[in-house]
Amino acid sequence: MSDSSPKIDPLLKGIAPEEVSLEEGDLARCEIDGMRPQALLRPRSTESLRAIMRIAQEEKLAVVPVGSGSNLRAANPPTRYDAAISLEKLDRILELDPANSFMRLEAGCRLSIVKEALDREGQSLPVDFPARSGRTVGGLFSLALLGPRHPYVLAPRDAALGLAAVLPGGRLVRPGGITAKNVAGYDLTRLLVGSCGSLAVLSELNLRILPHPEDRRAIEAHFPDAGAAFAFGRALSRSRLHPSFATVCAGGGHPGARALAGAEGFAVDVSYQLDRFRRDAADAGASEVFDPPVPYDDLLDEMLASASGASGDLVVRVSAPITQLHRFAEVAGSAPLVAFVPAGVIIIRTSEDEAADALGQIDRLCASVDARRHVISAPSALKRSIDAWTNVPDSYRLIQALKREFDPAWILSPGRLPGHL
Amino acid sequence: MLDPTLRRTLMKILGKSRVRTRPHELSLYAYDASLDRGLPDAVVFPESTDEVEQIVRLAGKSRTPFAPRGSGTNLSGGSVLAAGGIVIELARMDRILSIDAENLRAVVQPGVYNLDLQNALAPVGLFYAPDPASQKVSTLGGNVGENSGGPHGVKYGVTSNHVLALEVVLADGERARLGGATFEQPPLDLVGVFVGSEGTLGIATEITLRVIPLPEDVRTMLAVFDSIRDASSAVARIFAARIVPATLEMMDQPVIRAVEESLACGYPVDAAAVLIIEIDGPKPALEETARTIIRILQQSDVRDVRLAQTADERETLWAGRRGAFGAIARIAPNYLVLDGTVPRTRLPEMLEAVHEIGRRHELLTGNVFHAGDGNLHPLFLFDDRVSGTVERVRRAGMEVLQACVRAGGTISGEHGIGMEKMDAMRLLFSDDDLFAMSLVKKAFDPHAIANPGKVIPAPQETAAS
Repeated sequence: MSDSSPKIDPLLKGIAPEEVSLEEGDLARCEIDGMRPQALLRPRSTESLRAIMRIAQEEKLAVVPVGSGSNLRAANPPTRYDAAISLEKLDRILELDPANSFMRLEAGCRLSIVKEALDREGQSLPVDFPARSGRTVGGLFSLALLGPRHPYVLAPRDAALGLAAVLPGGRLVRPGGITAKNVAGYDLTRLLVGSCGSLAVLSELNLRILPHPEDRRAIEAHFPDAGAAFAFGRALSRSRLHPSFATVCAGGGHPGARALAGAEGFAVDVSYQLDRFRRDAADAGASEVFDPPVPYDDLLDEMLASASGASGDLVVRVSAPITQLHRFAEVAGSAPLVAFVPAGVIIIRTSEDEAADALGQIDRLCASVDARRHVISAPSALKRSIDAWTNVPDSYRLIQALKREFDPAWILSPGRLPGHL
Repeated sequence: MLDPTLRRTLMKILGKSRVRTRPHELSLYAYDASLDRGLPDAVVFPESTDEVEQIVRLAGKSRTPFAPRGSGTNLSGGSVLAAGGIVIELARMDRILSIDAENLRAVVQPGVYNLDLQNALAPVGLFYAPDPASQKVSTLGGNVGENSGGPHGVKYGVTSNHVLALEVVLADGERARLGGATFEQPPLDLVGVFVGSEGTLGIATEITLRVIPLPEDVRTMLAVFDSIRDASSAVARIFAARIVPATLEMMDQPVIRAVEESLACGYPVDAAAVLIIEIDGPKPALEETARTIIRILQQSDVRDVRLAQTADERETLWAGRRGAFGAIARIAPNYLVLDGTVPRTRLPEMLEAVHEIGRRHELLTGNVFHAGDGNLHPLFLFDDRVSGTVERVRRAGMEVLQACVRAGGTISGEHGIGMEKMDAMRLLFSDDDLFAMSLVKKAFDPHAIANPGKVIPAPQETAAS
């Protein structure tokens, strides 16, 4: 164990010793773009989390909630970073109520554990996350990224019915509730979900749940080029059927492009839709259409992994109009990419050598087609020289005002938001 | 009374005909569809975002309160200025600016009627999911202000699930764009916090909406019950069978009778309750799903099930539901309608509680509501010319909201807080919750001139606590 700096002593004295780690390995796991905290705090209760947030504000110590640590680089690097907060000890499922379509759980719950609990009840979360994820619920909802099955499944902001969160200074707030319809007061749930842990630390979430469908299957189609695969994805996005996803994967040394299209629901519907998808794929120029030999969750994970970077790679998400996604594939050239076509999202990975050029091209295209770019990871030097997000200038002063009101001492994830706020 | 200099400046910007300050003109804007009343000092009719900017900038400089207004169908007093100020009537900003069918989005001005957008989308095979019962006359700007729902909310969600971006004029007159025209939004969901803010954070002058391909097919049925408890039980069983209907609406006997007398939709007047159930999606499973629902209804002791065979029959079933509030007006000159929401399984006890509260306060009571998502609409019918009645109705309303909160629910599912439910906010939220909401208000509107006195009870006090 290393010695702590006297600066963070008030934090260490304010909570139980077993809630603090100064181990090098723990601190290294919390590193963000070259910045490493002096302590990792693991509160075992909401009261302990409140104490941390109170002391941090009083002592002006910068704290950053870290979830499982898997997506720490998917925001701007913090401008100050004294301690990391992990909610891994706050990991209870508090209530699971299929009859009323909701569950309540603590933010440190691992998604894999949540999935197991829901599977036992024949239920699922109506949001996307990697099937074998070690990520926490709090982490997933702090970033609020869309997955391949959006809009068939909800965006995280739509799936959260309510939450508990601790503000800088230690106040505990519980906006929202457990019902799908709720317009009482400002929707702080939507504001805090996806806020990158910069206005409050999420401690509990109330989430919608839905029953498992009777059937869920997919078809796989291979196309001679990405343009044809995107045309297929666009046709499904506009279809009066109800595809659960239409994902395109290309690049990375593989010729042509692959598309995976799925349907969920009653078995008769799924068969009917897949037949139509097969015809649509053939019409779009598919060279081969077949039933995938492995569960499609595995294929989707594989596609996502192909566009996830090793440390040092540039991984960029672009949110674009559906009709413009193929243009980003053209810019990507031979770089690995995966696109969730109905969601209007494409993820592109390039090597460190090509990162700066690729980012410049993507940014120029974003500006011309009203798209947004979000850097998930990048070589550290590049990451420190850019904003992780483009195209939020008009609302910048409102983001600034909200940050100032919620975090007047600027102690919670400082610098993580767009504009390095 | 409006400052004469401010009035002259407004007339210079808009012309005399679009600035109204005479008492008889103002009286038309002193109410909405709620019980709340408040006379403004002026009503103005901008026709562009530029004009809204100029009006709000003037209001900001003189610290004059203002409130946006659509069609005035607000059910919680949100359109009424409690202590004077400028009503900004947006009905003239009524253009559908674009429909981008391939990218599934539409851009509208705030004064567009909800139904007009639906009618424009249908020919290109699209629809906009939120469909409040008032959709013929309620504006999309008002829907954004209240985060409106509607029957299709049970499957497709409410307004906040469908707004991608907003152009807004903030309380200091500055224009801002919130959100973006694509589906994945950046950190801090400013659109999400603006939708449902009831005009207290600024004025939406352009709205980008997510629209959806029309489902391949639809089936609509009417289920008739001799007991409310059986009808409620059927609702829970349908969801337990992994069916998410497109709509699942319930009406009880007082409403059924009013609808039949007014609209003759073929509802049986001796029924204790009816459900209107609609399912949509790909064709093959619809017949099978309909058969499954009928089996569930039979297990719940349904008396009769009528499956609409034609588009006309479907429309007739819906005409009764959409016309229910109008039909109620034939029974009594006034009504209070609430919109508390409870978990679905608590519906039977809530409906009993509503009728018990009505009986105790000697009020004629009816229910017409979104059963699928537990969103109640208890109606208390009365005559406000009878002394003391309004106070009695308000007490009954507060008791219903208390019962909703006790049942694990909320005080408003889709009508908003406005003035009507300000006192009830403390049933649901702690001082710390209200403090956090006041931070949002301060960030958007530091001088508290945008529709003041709504949503957050005594924000200054809670902020200082």
